[in-house]
Formats: sequence, structure tokens, C-alpha cells
Amino acid sequence: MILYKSTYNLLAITAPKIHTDLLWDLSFLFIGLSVIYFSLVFIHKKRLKARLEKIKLRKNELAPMISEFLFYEDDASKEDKTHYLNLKVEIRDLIKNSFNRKVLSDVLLDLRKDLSGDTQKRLFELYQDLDLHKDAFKKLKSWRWEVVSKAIQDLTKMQVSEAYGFITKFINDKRSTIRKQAEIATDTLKYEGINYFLDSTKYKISEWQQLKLLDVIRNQKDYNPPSFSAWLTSSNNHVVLFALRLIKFYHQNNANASLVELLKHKNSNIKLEAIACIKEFHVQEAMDTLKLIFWKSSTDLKIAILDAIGDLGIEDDIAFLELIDKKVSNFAVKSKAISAINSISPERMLPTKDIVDASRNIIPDDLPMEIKTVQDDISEGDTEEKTVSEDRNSDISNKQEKLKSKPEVEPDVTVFDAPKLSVKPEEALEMQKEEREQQIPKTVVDIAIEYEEVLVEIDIERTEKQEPATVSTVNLDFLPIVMSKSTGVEEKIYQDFKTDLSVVNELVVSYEVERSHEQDNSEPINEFKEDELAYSHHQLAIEDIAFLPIVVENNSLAEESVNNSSKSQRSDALSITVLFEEVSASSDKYLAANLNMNTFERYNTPEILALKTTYEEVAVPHSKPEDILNFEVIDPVFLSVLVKEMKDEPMNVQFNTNTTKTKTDVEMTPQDEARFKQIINSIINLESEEHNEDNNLTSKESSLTPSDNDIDITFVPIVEEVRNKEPNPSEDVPNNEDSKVTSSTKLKIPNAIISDQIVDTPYFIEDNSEESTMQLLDDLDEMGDEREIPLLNEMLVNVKYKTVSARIEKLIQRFKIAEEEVSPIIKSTKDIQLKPFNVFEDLFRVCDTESKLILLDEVAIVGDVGDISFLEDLLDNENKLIREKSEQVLIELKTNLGLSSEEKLDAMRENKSQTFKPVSKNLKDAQVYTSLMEELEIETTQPSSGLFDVAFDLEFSDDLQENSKNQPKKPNQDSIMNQICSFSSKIINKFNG
Amino acid sequence: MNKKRLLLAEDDELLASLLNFRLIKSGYDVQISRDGREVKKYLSQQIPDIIVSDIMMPYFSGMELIAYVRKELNSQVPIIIISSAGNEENVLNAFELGANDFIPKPVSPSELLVRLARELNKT
Repeated sequence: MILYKSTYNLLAITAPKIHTDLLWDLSFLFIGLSVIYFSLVFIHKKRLKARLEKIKLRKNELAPMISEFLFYEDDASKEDKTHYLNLKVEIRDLIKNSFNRKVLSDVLLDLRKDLSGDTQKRLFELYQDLDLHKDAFKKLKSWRWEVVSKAIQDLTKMQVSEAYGFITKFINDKRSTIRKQAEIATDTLKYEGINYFLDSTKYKISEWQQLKLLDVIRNQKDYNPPSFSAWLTSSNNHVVLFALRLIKFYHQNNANASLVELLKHKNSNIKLEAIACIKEFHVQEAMDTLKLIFWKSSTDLKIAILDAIGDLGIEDDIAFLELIDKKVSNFAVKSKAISAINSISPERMLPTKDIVDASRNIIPDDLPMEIKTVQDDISEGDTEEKTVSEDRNSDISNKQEKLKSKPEVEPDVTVFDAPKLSVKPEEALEMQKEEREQQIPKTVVDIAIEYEEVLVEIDIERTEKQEPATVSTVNLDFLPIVMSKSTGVEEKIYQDFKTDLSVVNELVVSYEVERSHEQDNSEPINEFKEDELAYSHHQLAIEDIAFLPIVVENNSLAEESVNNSSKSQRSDALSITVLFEEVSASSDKYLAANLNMNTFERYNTPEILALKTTYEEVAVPHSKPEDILNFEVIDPVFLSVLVKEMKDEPMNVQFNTNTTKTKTDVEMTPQDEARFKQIINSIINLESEEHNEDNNLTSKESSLTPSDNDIDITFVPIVEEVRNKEPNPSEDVPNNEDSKVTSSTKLKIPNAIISDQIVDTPYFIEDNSEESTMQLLDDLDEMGDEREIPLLNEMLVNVKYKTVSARIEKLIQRFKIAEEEVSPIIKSTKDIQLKPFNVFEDLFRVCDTESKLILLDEVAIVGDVGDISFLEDLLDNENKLIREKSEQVLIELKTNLGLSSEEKLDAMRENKSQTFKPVSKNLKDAQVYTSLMEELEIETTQPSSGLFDVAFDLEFSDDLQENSKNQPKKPNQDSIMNQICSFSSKIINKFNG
Repeated sequence: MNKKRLLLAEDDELLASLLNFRLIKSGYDVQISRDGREVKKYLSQQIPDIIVSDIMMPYFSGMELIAYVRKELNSQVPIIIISSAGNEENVLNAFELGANDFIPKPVSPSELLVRLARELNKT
């Protein structure tokens, strides 16, 4: 079935045979269709063109008539009046035709946009006189949105006021285009349309729509706008927003309370619009609310609020604005706050960004005139001539005010001054004097610039020279010193300024310390460093840094320092830091000496001892101090080798009983062994003592001679292994001390580190061996049979207890008797030759007929002598095809194997026919099987019949035989694939006749 | 009584027809030109008493017409511009080139007649 389906699919893939006539027919069909299509397009275009021509002609006919109507005058002559009446009759006849009506309507709509004034009014009247608006009303009922929209638009353009009632229905239409058209129409057709719209609309009014509506309203002649504050209470936020805009547009300042209340609205757009209205109408009572809502508003709103406060605010509001300037970090808001302050009180906030401090600039005494000019330049608009000192005083006082009022601006100042703090004041003064002598600055700005340059040069020079700056040099004295005539006022100002810069000094100190660490480690510590390190000393205790390697500047200093530190715990961390800071690679001597120091002595500080550990506590108090000192570090190599050895060889009897030296033994020196044993012993002693204390042992013997109860469960494998070890009396009698220690060792030592060198045969195993052996013998007695005799014999040889040996002998006797009883039966069963396993036979049982045939082919290819019996069995198969096939394959296989004796084959066939069931019975079973499968509704492979099967069997097998001859060693999968491929091709050939 | 010859250069046939009707009724001899080529052709033959022109026309715009009349024909015939593109730039351009008046659309025929009469009276 599956095969048939796959064949069907393969057929579907093949290219269909299409007749050439059919192709020609299809070609003609497509050509015909394309001709028809282009003809239709051509005809449609022609008709459209003709229609346009017709419309054009009709318009040309109607245009003079319309002109007659539009420009008809009441004082016309009788002839004109007669002509007018005739035209009216004529046009009424014309508009009976829908086409003419449409053309006339279009003409009037076109003319409407080009005409104005009285003519336009007449046009509107004509439109309604000719009842063209009724067509638009009809269109309003259409379900098509574009038709309805066009109708509303036409009625709006032609100012059909009658349509107002119809159009207002579309204000809340779900179709946005119609709704928007209706909104414009409502506002256009009647003055009160906007009121109705604002009252009734439930939908959003887009910004664009608001603009269009506003345009409609403002272009209405003689329009008296209503008080839009009535819609500030609308539930539609868009209506409120639009009302606010209309209020602002029409300057309706009668809703101040509502505006103030709307400042608290959730919608930020409404808030913004309300703020704009408040600003527009100067609503002073809104100030408190503006301040109230400021802090929880968005940035845009904050800016708008500050803008309004700037416009409406008074001096009292400056404090609020200054608070904003201090609290708010947003640049735009901050700028707006400053702008608002200056708006309320001009020049209150002066520029601070990138303003160079010129208060310390030195003005040359020999150029008073030029400096005066400079001062004029600086103080713009200030026409009064001031002395230099007065100006500077004012600058300084301004600076002081800034510092007092705006402390957060100070970081800028510190950044500006920071790099200069390391300059000696004396040097700075000298350099300044030199520079002053060399160059005479022209302006104050020049002076400032040059002053900075000098400072930079001083820094560079000092860095190059690597002069150790003393602590005393880094203070506030370096600050620029005024060289002009000093007065008492100046000194006072200078002192105040110095005090104000205290924060600056702190920041500079941190900068200096950081720089000294990075750039110049050899620089002596100044007092700022001391401060910094003192801070670190508070953070780090001595024990925290005790583990650090001690590095010294030179040997003598290092030794001295170490001695000092070991003798007394210095609380001053400064010296430690110096040692750490100044690394010397030449302190090998000290390091060597340091390494030779006793480990515990080296770390034997109170802090170390006081350290809390999370490890398992060793019972140090119960041990002697010497024991602790005897601890030595176990060589990791030693352990690793041992572990490796344990991994390589499984822990079995042979391993434990092996007396020859292993790899471990070779690598382990006697010293290592002795050390290891000593360590283990000491650990065991400690453990046992601790164990005894923990368990509050009452008996002293129990702590010295462990019983079976003390055996840890981890010893079970070892016990089992050692149990099989051959008992050695010499090893079984150790001296007391060793035995105790060894037995104790067995308590806790992990199995992995036990080797035959350190594990002596435990005597408690010997005590236990009789019982355990007896238990084993009981088990054998209960469950064993004659196959246990060899084991028992072996045990008999090894056992040393008489009771055990007697029991073993007894068991051996019993099993032998049983064996003698059973042996005849076994012999008879041995005589029966079991049928050898055959893979083909196994597969044959579960596959269908086709598969069986394929399998037989495979037997022919890859079969051997063992398959001959199987093939011979198949000679009696109920299926004729299989019988024939098996016979054929059998002959082929024998030919391949060189077994051609027909006699032998016949003899074997005769023998087999006797052992197999009769064919009739097989047939009966097959019938039962078939009926069962039918009951279970399972499809069975029916014997194939008809054309399909015949072709398959005959040709398929022939091909396969040929293939098998040519490629006898071909893999099974390839041959199956070949069969499938050839099978499908055969089926196709069958279908094609 | 001599009728004043008026050249109406307007591509919108309906408006041209309407204005034509009104101007004829007001006693003008109106010549309608649908595009710039017709205007040129007419002007090459004769110069009207007054020209009413739209700005946006095929082949020949109202601005070009002004320039053509003023520079090439070297005529000082009154030119009134009617345009829906009544922005400042167009108006200023028209006056700079030599237009006598500018009427934005939608146009009122009555207003046009008044302006025509005023321009003709000037001459």
C-alpha cells in the first residue's frame, strides 16, 4: 500500500505530456483575451472622452444660461425679462435629465470658487432654486462614505442652510471623514453650529481639524463668538483643549478661575494651553497654583510654568525661582528659571559659565591710563571712571556674593584652580615679577592669560626638577597675591576669599594625592597625604594588612621597620604605607630572612589569633603546643601521586594483598612515609581525644581499644577486601602501641589514602572472619548448588577454623551428591543440539512476503553455511513463492560456498521435513491468525496476485540476481535501495504498457 | 459710442464665459484667449484698450504677458491681473513688471467692472 502511494507520487512528479494543439489553443485564448481587454480599455477611454466632451458641450451650453441667471437685473427691459423667463423654462426642462442636473451642479460648484460678492450669493440662490440641493440630500442617505461626504461638502459650499439639521446628525458618525465634514458643515452653515458641535461631539478633535474649524469660524462674517469658557467643563478633553484655544484666540478673559483650575488637569496639553491663557490674560491669582504644580510637571510644562512666572511674577517669586535653580538639574529648566529671575528682576543673575576670575589680576603700576581703558571695556555702559582698586574690590565683592548665594557653583572654581595648587607662592611671585618685568600687559584680559601661562610653566618646571615639596608648601599661601597698593580692605577681602575657598582646598587635596600616587611615587608625603592616609588608616586595621608582603626601600630601613613592627604594634599606618609605596627589588636579603622565619612567629600577632575562622576547629586546647609546631605541610605531589595510583588500580583484593612495590612506593621516600605516618598519627590522636570528649566516654578502654561499634561505615569496603587477604600471623600480632594507633587510623582516614604500606591487617577482622565466613556458608547452603564447589574448595584451603572447615566440607559433600543426581539429566539435555541462532530467521518471523523475498535475496548475497539449514526449512514454507525462492537461493548459496552435493542436501531436507509441522497444520494456524487479525482490524499482507505481483516477482528477482552476481559484497542497504528503485521503474513500465 | 476693446486671457472657460457675458453686457468688446499663444497672436495683430489676464495659463503665463506687452510691444495698455495665486510675491512681481491692478480670485464681476472703468479713465 505504501509502495503504491510512493509510486503514485513519483508519477505525479513526471512531466505531463501536453499536446501541441492544446498549447496553440491556449495561446489563441490568451491572445483573444488580451485583445478583448485592450478593446475594452480603448472603448472605455473613448466613452470617457465622449462623456467629457459631452459635459464640456453641456457646460458651454449652460454657462450663458447661468450667466443670464446670475446677472439678471430686475430693472431689465421687457425683452430681457422674456428671455430670462424662457431660459428658466428651458433650464427646468434640462435639469429633468440627471446628467444635465449633475453637469449644472458641477458648473455652479466650479463657479462658486471663482466668484465672490453678489454674484456668489445669486449662485447659491440659483443652486437652491433649481432644487439641486435635493440631490445632495438624497446622497446623504447613501451607505457609501465618499458619497455622503461629497453631499455634505456640496451643501456646505452652496450654503444650504436647510441641510444643517441633516448634517448635524453626522457629527458623531463613526466614519471619521464624514464626521469631520459634518463638523465643518455645522460650523459653516450656522453661527450656532460651533456651540452644537462642542456640546455634542464625543470624538477626538485632531489638531488639523481644530485649525480648520478655527479657520471656518474666523472667516465667518459678523460672527459673534460665544463664551467658550462654557466648554471648559466638558467631559471631552479635546473639547476643553479646543475651547481653551478659542478663548485665547478671541481673548475671552472671563474664565480665570477655570483656567487656574485647569492647571491641575491630568492632560498636559490642557495644562500647557491653560498656562498659555494665564500668561496671555495675566492671571495673577494663578501664581500659587503654578508653583504648586511645578514640581510634579514634565520638563515642557516646567518651562511653560517658568515662562508664565517670568511674565507674571514679582520680586517675591524670585526665591521660588532661585530654589528651582538650585534644586532642578535639568539644564533647560534651570536656564528658564534664571531667565525668569532676570525677567522679574533684570541683571539679578549674572553669567557664571566660563567667566575667568579677574579679581586677582595684577595691574601694572606704570600703565594707569591703559588699565583705565580696560576697565571701561569691561564695565560696559559704565561711563564713570573708577580706579583699578575700586573695580577690583567690586569684582571681589561680587564674587563673594556669588559664592555665598550659589555654593554649588564652586566646583567650577576648584576645577579652574586645581592644577595650580602645587605651586609655591614664593616661586609664583618671583615668576610673576619676572614676567611683569619682561612683558607689560596691555589689557586686563592679557594679564589674566599671561598669568595662567606662567602658572603652567611653573608646574612643568617643578615636575621636571622633581623637587620634593614640603608639606608646608601646599597651603593657601600660593594663591595669587595682589601686588598693588594694599589696603586694609583688600587684606580683609583676601582673607575672606581664602576662607571661602576652603572647599576648593579640600577638592584640590584629593586631586594632589591622586596625582602623587600616579605620577610621582618618590615624592615625600605632604600633610595632605597624611590626612588621606590617616583616613585610610581608619578604614584598615593592622590585621587587615598583616598578610601583605613587606617591601622596603632599602635593607636597613626594611629591617628596622620590620623589627619595629614586630616589637610593637604601631597605630600609625603611615609608616606601613610608606613601605608599601616604595617598592625595592633589591631587598632579597630581607626576603630571604623573612622566609626563614617561623611561620607562626611571623603571623603570631594578637590580631591573627583573634581571627574568627569558619573552618572546623582543631582541638588545639587539648593538644600540646609541640604538636602544633610539628605540623608540616604535606607535599601535594605526594598525595596526588597516591591518588593517581588508587585510580589506576581498582581497589580489589589483589591490590591490597600486593606486596610488591608499586609506583607509589617508588616515588615515596622513606622520609615522606615517616612524615606522613607521623602526621596521620597526630591527627588520629587529636581526633580520638576529641571524639572521646564529645561522647563523654565513661570507659577508658573504649577510647584505647576500639570495638566493632566504632568501625566507621567507610571501612566496609576495606574490611571486605582485607577479609579475603591471606591471614598472616606475624602481621596479626602487632605491638600494643602500633595496633592502637593503626586501629585508630582506620577510624577516620579516607579510603583513598590508604595503601598497603600503612594499612595493616586489622585484628578485629580476624575476630570477625569466622562469623562472617559462617554466614557466607549459610547463604551458600541455602541458595547454592554444585557450582559452588570450586569456591568451597578454595575456602577450605584458606580457612583456619575447624568449625568453618567442617561446615565447608559438609557443604561440598551435599553439593556433590546433588550433582550426581542431576548429572544424567544434564547429560541428556547436552545431547540435544540446539538450533543455532540465525538472524535471517529472526527477521523472517516478523516481516511480510515482499520483505521475506528481499531477505532471501540478501541471504543469497551475504549468507553462509549457517543459513543453509534456515533455507532448507523454508523449502517447506506454505507460500509457494517463498518455497521457490528459498530453493533458488539455497542452490545459489551452496554454489557460492562450494557445497554442491545434492545428496547431502536431500538428506538434510528429509530430516528437516520430519521435524517440522505438517503443512496442513500450518495452514490451519494461518487461518486462525488471519481471522484474529481481522478481528483486530489489522491489515495483513495478503498474498499478492495479479499483474503487479507477477511483474514484481519475476523481473525484480532476476535483476537482483544479476546484481548479486556482479556485486556479491555489496552492502544490504544498497541492494535494498536498488530493489526499490528498480521496483518503481517496473511499475511505471507496467502503467505505460 | 466706441466700445472698449478688452482682451480676456483666461483658461477657465466657465469663468471666461461668465465674465465675457458680464463685460459684454457692460459694453465691452471682449476677446477671449484660452492660452498664451492665442494672446500673443492677438497682440501681434492689435493692441486692445485694456487687458484682463490670469497668471496661470498654458504656454504663456500672465507675468510673461505683462513683460511681453511692456518690453517687446512697448505698450502701456492697462493690464489687470486676476489670479487665485494672490500671494504677496505674485502681486509684487506683477506690479514690478508693469501690471496696473491685481484682483485675487474669487472675483466679483461687479468689482472688476469698477476697476476696469477706473483704469480706462486713467488713460
